[in-house]
Amino acid sequence: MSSKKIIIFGLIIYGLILFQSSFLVPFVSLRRLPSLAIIFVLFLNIREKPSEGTASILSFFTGLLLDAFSSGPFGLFALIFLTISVIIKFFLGKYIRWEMNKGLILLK
Amino acid sequence: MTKSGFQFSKLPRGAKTVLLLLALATVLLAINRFGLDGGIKNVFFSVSAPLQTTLWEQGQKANFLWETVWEIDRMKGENERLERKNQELNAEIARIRNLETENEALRKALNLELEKDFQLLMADAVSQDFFSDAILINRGSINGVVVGSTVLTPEKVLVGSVQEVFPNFSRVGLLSDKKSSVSAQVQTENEEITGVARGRGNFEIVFDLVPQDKKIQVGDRLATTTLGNVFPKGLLIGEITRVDYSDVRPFQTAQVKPALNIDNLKILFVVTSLKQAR
Repeated sequence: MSSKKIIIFGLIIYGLILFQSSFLVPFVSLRRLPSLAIIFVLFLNIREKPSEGTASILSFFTGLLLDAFSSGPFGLFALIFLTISVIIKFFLGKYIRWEMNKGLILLK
Repeated sequence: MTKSGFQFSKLPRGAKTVLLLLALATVLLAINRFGLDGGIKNVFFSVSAPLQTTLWEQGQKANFLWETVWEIDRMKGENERLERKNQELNAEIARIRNLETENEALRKALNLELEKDFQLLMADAVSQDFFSDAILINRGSINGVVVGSTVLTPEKVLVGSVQEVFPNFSRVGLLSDKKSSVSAQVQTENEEITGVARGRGNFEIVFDLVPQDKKIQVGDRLATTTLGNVFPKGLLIGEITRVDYSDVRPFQTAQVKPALNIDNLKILFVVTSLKQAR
């Protein structure tokens, strides 16, 4: 688990949330765009080895940020994202093998 | 001596995860329960607000630029649509002008009371013959046009007679055609001077076979007579522009400026039958 990686990706996620919540708002055609931060964090969860926990921490962090910018109960998104991250890692660890050169391989 | 009791590191991974989630949920629940979420959110907003404000402004500028580009594209489409509409309206105007011309011609014909003398068929000049003084009109045998039918303008100017008839078109030989000759007369104060108006080609007409003792003058108007039973009486042919008098010749001749202006020729009338006595 690399703290540097967490900080960099955390800043990227924060930047994506700010970008989407302010810069893209005037663009009428882009208002229905799915959350870029969620897509990014899902991508990190899938790409990362199941044994690593960086993506799970970033999922929780993303949830916290979204909680901060939403009107719902604080921590709801954080817990949901963390839970989803754990589930993804569980399935990736059990059914899919990660190989450096070949990427993700579905296990029989 | 071994330690006894709870050790987190010895727990299975799944159990560790569940415990961690439960601990986080408890902390977050406590934050909500004690109303600390407002303060946390406030910190987030304070940190993010300057960035968000800048990004919002830049987004508006970028959106303005984007909308301008989009608007140009939309205006291009709109422009094409308006051009098409303009073409349609121009076509409509042309059609209306054509109707106006026809209407004017009919009014002239009514004013001249052409319909009292003749049974008329309106026609348009379609083209001019390259090799002779003849024109093509858009009325033919199915409209009742026959060879020899007289063709005149709304101003009662003689154009010529039909030489050839097709189902939908007819070729009209102009009076200036070399093959044309018609009995004509000049109406002076005292008498009617009769002769023959003969075509010389190139839109030239000569008034021939005028007796030497008759006095014709430049400016006299030449009209048709009923002699020869070819044309109705009184159709204008032209105006005398020059009189060629010679003692050695039995007849005098005169150059005639045709009243028919081929350049403005558009609406014509074909006389399908005469109501007056020839």
